[in-house]
Amino acid sequence: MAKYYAGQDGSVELGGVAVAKVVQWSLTANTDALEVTTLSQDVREFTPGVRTASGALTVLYYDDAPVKLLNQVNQEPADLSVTKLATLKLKFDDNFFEFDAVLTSAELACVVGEVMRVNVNFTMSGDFTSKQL
Amino acid sequence: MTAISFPALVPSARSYTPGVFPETQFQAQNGAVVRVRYGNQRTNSRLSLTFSNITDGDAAEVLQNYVQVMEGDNYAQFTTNNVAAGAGSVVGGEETGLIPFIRETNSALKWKYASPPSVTSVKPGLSTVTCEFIGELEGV
Repeated sequence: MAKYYAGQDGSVELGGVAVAKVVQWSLTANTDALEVTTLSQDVREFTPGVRTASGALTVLYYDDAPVKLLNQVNQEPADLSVTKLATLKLKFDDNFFEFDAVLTSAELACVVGEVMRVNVNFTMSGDFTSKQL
Repeated sequence: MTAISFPALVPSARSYTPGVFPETQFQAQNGAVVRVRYGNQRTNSRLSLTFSNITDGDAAEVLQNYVQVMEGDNYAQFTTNNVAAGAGSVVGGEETGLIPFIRETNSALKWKYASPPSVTSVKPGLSTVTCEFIGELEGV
């Protein structure tokens, strides 16, 4: 039977340390489409441009699970583990994407009847440092 | 005066103005206009070309063409396969549509660079080049 992956296979590492209570992560890779259509053509033609990737992850605010992420977003000077770029590793089972990223935003949501959660958005800096699919 | 062939590149954008007939206008106080015409041929036609996302090698060919045209008493020559592509067709050896204007084969104008080409780097290996040409009367 073919192997499939589910949410229980997923995890996230920040700077080589597993982030606890991750609910979801997502990653979107993009490539710019540069137009190379000339005046002798009547159909648009494109060539690949610059590549980027960005995404988001959600962490439950359970104990201090998201604190390192929030410090990274705020570039908290009191936290000596904070670096300019965050090294993220998005994993599912034995597969993973590893890259440096800027954590661009954090959204804290506190709702009646739900566990408080933190949504963090990131933008990859440079290419993937390693990946296994 | 030598014709220098433009590289085999088709532009992604092209803008043309046919120039003017040289003249001076005199306007009387009552608004009447008198024109003194100095010639019966167009002059100072303009052609703007944009080559989007071409290779750096092709961009260098445009720069080389600029040097070859402007370093001596030369002019740039276009064909229906490069700059004038898509501006008309050639039927029985006769150019139709905009081609005679783009190539200035229907006038005594010769294409010179009005300003140096501008090269904008887009990503490694790709650039966008813009050129401005002016049609000047030569040997008339």
